[in-house]
Amino acid sequence: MLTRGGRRVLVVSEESMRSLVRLAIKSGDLNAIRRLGRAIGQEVLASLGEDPNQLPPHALVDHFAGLWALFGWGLIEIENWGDALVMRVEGSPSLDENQLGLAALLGGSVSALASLEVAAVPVGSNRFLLLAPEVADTVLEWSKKGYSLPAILDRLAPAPFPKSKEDA
Amino acid sequence: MNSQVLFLESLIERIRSRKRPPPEPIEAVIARWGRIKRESKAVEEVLPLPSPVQGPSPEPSPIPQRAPIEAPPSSPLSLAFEEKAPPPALLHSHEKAKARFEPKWEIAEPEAVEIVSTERPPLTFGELLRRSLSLRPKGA
Repeated sequence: MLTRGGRRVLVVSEESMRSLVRLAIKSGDLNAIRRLGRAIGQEVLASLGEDPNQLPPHALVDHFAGLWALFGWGLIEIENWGDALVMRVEGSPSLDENQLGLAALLGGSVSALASLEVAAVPVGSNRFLLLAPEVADTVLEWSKKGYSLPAILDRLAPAPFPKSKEDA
Repeated sequence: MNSQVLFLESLIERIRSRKRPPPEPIEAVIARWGRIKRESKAVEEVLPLPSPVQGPSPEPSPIPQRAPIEAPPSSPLSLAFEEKAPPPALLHSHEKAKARFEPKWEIAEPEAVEIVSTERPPLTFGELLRRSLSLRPKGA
């Protein structure tokens, strides 16, 4: 099976995928899952044909959600919680208890879309908070402790974001 | 018949028997008319009437004309006595009257004004993502 860009895609059962994710979590390296997510993001970019950073968020997510659902990962919605951007995924396969596999897949996809390193941190209720990778571990600890999304956001504050190469 | 004649005769007799005032002597009449003439002469001296034999003359005014009132030049009221008749040319010239009452100012042509909306445009996905990526733990 090939994508529209000519890239080969394998159809993997949910059970096989779950085993692969658990193995990656056990070894502490989810990069393989992130690379899979990047592949999805690049497919979105190729079909989009324009800079996704200049699009309204819902216009981009609608396009992204179409391919995401086509690959069998469920339905994506975007939520704006103050300064935080949150993605909600419904109907996705259950890969691991803490949804780390799905978070790695989503983070890889958004990173490819935005040309930035983005970490998606599971914060409960099928929601994933999009954060910088350097704060992802801290927020994940809060989430494991049972902090709700509003409580987590209350512990966060915006800081000056370093300029990207495009702005420089 | 006889009684009627007798009544008329007695009536005539009574009328004849009435006393009449004595006739005024002619000297008294002359003296009275002379006094009237003198009084009329005095009136002519106060109001000299034009003589009809002197030819055409302006119509005499029944009211004596007064001299125009003049204020002293130093008085501030002197301005009130000045004649301020507008120039006849201005009164009868439509163009000048129009120019007089037309406003001196002109309505300027409206200049193109750039309307700048103060409403902030919706953020793009890239801007929203950058804001989210800027979140850091408080106190870190």
